[in-house]
Amino acid sequence: MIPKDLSDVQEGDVLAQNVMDFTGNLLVNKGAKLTQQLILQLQSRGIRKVIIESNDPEALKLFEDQKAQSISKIEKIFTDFEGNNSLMELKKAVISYYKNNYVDF
Amino acid sequence: MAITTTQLQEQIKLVLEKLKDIPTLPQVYTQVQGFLENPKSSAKNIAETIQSDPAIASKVLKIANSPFYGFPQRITTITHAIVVLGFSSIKNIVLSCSVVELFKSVGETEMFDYKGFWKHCVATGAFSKIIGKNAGIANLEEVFLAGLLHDLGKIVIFKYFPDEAKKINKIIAGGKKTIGQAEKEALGFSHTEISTWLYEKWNLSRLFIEVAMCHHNPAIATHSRVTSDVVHIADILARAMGIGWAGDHSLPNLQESSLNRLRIKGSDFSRLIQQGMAELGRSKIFIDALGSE
Repeated sequence: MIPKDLSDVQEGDVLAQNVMDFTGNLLVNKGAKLTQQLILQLQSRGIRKVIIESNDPEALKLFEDQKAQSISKIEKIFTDFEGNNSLMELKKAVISYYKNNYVDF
Repeated sequence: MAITTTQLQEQIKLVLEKLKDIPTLPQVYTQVQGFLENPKSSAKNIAETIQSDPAIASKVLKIANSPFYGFPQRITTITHAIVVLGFSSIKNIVLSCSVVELFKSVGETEMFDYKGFWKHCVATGAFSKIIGKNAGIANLEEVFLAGLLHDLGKIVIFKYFPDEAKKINKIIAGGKKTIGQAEKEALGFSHTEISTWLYEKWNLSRLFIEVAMCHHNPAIATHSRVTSDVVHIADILARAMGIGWAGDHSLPNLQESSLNRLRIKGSDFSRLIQQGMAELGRSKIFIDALGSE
């Protein structure tokens, strides 16, 4: 999966993650194939980026590298807290979030 | 002989009172606050005051129309915003817009990533709102603001104490100390004391003052312990998620007593992160507000 600006997606691209609006309502399920009509509808709901399935090795590598970089930064933050159970639970939750979501902040 | 907390506070006041051009909130905020304390004030008085500051007025409308409030109907005038959102929300929006304006005026410094820092403040606000909701707090808007404002003393240090700020950055570069520890080493006090002093000067509510003072040690809070607990955990979640720049490469101590008081278990973190990140999406208008005119 890779993130893509809605203005750059193409008809036939498949969503790799659910698309939610700003209030957390589900707009489109993952697995849906984008059509021109759906792209316009998402744009009108203020969606700027979606996560799509991709076979493009270069784009995939870039996305995976960025993710690995973020995870390694997080692991560093927690280095000195190995004995703290609550912080280790937090670390697990944060890394799991990064593995399964695209973080755009 | 060790000095007492009161002696330390007096010493800090002496240092801070000598500073010139200390950041002040725009006049529009103090005027709106004054109107709200006067039962004879009308929506018209407040609307006219807000409109007298176009930068704040345009931000108030943007925030009122943002997913943060999620009103289906478009709010087109300040008077309309006051009617729909109420006096208290309008005051909170004006306060957050005033802080954005303040960031613009004092935030530019080579030594401090003020845009990243603002992101950290917004993320702490968003996580505070979610943790506060889980804790059953009714006024979530106020909890968001308490999170947003928890750390502003940091920009005062980097703006007004440039020599000490260099030392702080050097200490932080070692990677082992938090910004609070580095500030104490370089200055003798930290951003929590500065925020407290500043918010007293600004005449902010006791909740904001106490959260700023106690967010690293909520057990000492006497007036707003639950909100201090909430912001303490929110600050750590925002840092752990790597959102923005809190000023260091480490994490402050996570107080188990705060987790216990709020009944948060380790297994709750995943859910809080999911909800907090969705809330951050809804709060994005506050991040964007710093870059807009």
